[in-house]
Amino acid sequence: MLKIYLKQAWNLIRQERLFSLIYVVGTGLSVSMVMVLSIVFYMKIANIYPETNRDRMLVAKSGMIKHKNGSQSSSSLSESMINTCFGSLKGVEAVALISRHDGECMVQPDGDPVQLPVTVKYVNTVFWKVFEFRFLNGKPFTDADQQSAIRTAVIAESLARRLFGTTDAAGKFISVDFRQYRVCGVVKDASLVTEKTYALVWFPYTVADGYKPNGSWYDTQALGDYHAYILASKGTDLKALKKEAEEKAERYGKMLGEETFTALGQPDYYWQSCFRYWSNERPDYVLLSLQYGLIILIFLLVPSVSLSGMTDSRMERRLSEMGVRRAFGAPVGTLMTQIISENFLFTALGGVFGLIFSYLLIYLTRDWILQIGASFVNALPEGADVVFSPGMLMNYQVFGIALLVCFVLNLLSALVPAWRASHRQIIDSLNAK
Amino acid sequence: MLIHIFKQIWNRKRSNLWIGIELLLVFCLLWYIVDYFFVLEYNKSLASCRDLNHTWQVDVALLPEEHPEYQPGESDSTALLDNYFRVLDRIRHHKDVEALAVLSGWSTPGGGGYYGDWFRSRRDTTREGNGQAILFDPQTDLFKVFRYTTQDGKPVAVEDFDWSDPKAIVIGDLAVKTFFPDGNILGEVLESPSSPETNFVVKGSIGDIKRFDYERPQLAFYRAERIKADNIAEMEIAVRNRETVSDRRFLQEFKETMSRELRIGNFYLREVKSYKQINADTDFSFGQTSNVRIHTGMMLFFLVNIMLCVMGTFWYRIRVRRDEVGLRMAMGATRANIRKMLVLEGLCLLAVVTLPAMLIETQLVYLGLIDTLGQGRNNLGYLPDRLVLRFILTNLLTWVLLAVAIVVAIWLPADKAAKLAPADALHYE
Repeated sequence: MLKIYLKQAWNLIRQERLFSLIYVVGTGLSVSMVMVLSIVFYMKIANIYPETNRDRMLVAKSGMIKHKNGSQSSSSLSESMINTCFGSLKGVEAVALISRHDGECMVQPDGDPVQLPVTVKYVNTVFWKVFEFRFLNGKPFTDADQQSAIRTAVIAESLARRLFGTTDAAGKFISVDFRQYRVCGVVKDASLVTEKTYALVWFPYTVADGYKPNGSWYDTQALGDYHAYILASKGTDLKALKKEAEEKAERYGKMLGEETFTALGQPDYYWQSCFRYWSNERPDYVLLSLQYGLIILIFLLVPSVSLSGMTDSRMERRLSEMGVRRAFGAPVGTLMTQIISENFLFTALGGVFGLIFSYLLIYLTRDWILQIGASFVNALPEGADVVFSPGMLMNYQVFGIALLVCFVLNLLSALVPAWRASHRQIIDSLNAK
Repeated sequence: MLIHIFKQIWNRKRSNLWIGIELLLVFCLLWYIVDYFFVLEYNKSLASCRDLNHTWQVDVALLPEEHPEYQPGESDSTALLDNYFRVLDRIRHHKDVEALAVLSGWSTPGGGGYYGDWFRSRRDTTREGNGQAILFDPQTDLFKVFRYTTQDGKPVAVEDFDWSDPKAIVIGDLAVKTFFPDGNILGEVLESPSSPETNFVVKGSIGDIKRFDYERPQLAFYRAERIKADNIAEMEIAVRNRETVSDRRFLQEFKETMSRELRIGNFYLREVKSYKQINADTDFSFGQTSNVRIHTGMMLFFLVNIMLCVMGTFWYRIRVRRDEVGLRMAMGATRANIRKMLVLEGLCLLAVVTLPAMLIETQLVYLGLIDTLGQGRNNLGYLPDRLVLRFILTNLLTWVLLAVAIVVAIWLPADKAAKLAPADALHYE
């Protein structure tokens, strides 16, 4: 039966090309808008190389101190705060530290006067365990390197090829801002999509200028330079772990003497941490989901009203057909199913068009679209580009969302016209030309 | 004619209901965006009494100690200062440089940085205000580099004011209105409300500037910060090129010659960047660029949707109404008449939804969902603060925008209907 409906719908499309085109474009636009949002959030939240453990990760980026005199300071966290609160929790496999002092440095290639700008990050050794970078050559820097602040570096494949012409660069030396570092490993490049871990050169955090063991910002003990990425071991109840970590952070905050410290509800689940932009403010997740929900609703509702209008006019032309079928005993339910499933062919066509269009939109806006909703947009590092791998754009989750959007849109745009068309008086319907 | 059209709209209320709802939805949503752009464009149109065209930030840096060419002998404070002045001289004497200024890195024009000052007038201590401090070395001409003018457009130069007093301060026009509404400013004192021993003597006023193009002007205070050995790292050099050379030629040639000439002591030329570019980068990183893109995208989305809706519905309507069109033609209606009738029908539909849409919009305003870009900096009777006028204007703009979209969308099907041969059309009857 469905086959006949679809056949009929296909013939209708061929008969009324322009109208069908308008309809498909309308659906496609709506689908593409929703899909742009969905894909952006998919890339922010799903497990993507090298952040393949996002689903068992907790993130603590910042905290706030209330001073004795009533004033407040907020910033990233200190090493000692992170170790005390999160290091000893049961079920924690590793805690990666990333210094907020990342940024651009200059590499001086051997025998070339032109310097290369590179993005640099300062991290600890377990960073390489929490984020599963693929080592093409060599190894991460060791605990000993980290403890003695030995100038070692892990570099990205693209940089290794650029500087040495090969990925076998372990043991060679690179000059960054005129200092020599021994390359200990080469990893497959990460994309700027995973902007938290992206870099071309990773140093042990202890080699950073001005690093002091257990230092803190203005002797606040709790505030410092680091963001903590806490990896839970497999099978750990993340919710319980989060609660325990939160409580520990709050207890820690009350034991600092004259000052009180709060981590403002951190550590966050990974997805929550994507919305935490300010260090002195707890994001309102309910409000955020309402906002995004409203935007998606608008993206669906505005086109679906106009699509309903078009479906309705199309039904008006087919009223006589409906009349004949009902006169011969077709039940209302059958007619409605027919109209809705016929319409789904249109919607699905629009869906395909919309999905492709959304890829194009994301590609064209790649330098800022991933930071949608952020208060400050980081410009791309010089010479870098956001690279998408096919897996980020084409995967069953994204296709699933697209299909779901089509279903919803189809229902929104065909349900009312179908109901109205199948509930007309048979006499009226038959009388229509 | 109009009554006739309204009658027709009423008779087809079934299918007009959909267009009506869609128009209503889009009208409200579009109005929200039009309002955003209205305020944005209004703010942009407010004059800023400085000019970033043809100006360049010359980034001069010191070699790190690890650099092979680093000379330890050149790093003591006297050598550093001497070398810095030599650097300034060489830049000043470049053939295409019209003017040079040294200013604090906090005060980069278009850079988004903000160094706040909080003052009150000593004469009337109830008059106080916050604003941006712009710190520069008065031996160099900041006002000439950025072509500062007075509020009424006359050019100013640094030497127009007396900088020999270490407490000298020059204030923007808005600061004059805030602190000294009577306009007598020379010799008046501005002091910090929390510690009155920090105070400055007003030496004159110049025109207002905006920290961001898309916001309103703000209070501005110009103060002297003289070049010293220990603040060189925080200062930046700004130049204006002569208009006889193009910006591109200037940049290329300047970089080439200065890379050689500025290798003095441990100084080297790191980068030359135009202030226009710095301004654009600031807009980007403050999220303004993406905000404008998102709003533009949404606006296009709504407009395309309404156009598709109108086009699709009218397409069908005209097929159903072929006989009517034929009859009209047979009775003597010209093709232009037919087209006009259909376009008018669309516009009448728009007219019908205008009032309900405005009612919904007032609810949005009432709920406080409409924010005004740049409000809060100062509220001296700018147009966007006059709510009723702004509401009427933005609705008018929305109406025109939608009307254009509808006319364009109806044109294609209406044209097709009008080109129907009367005999053909009547044949359907």
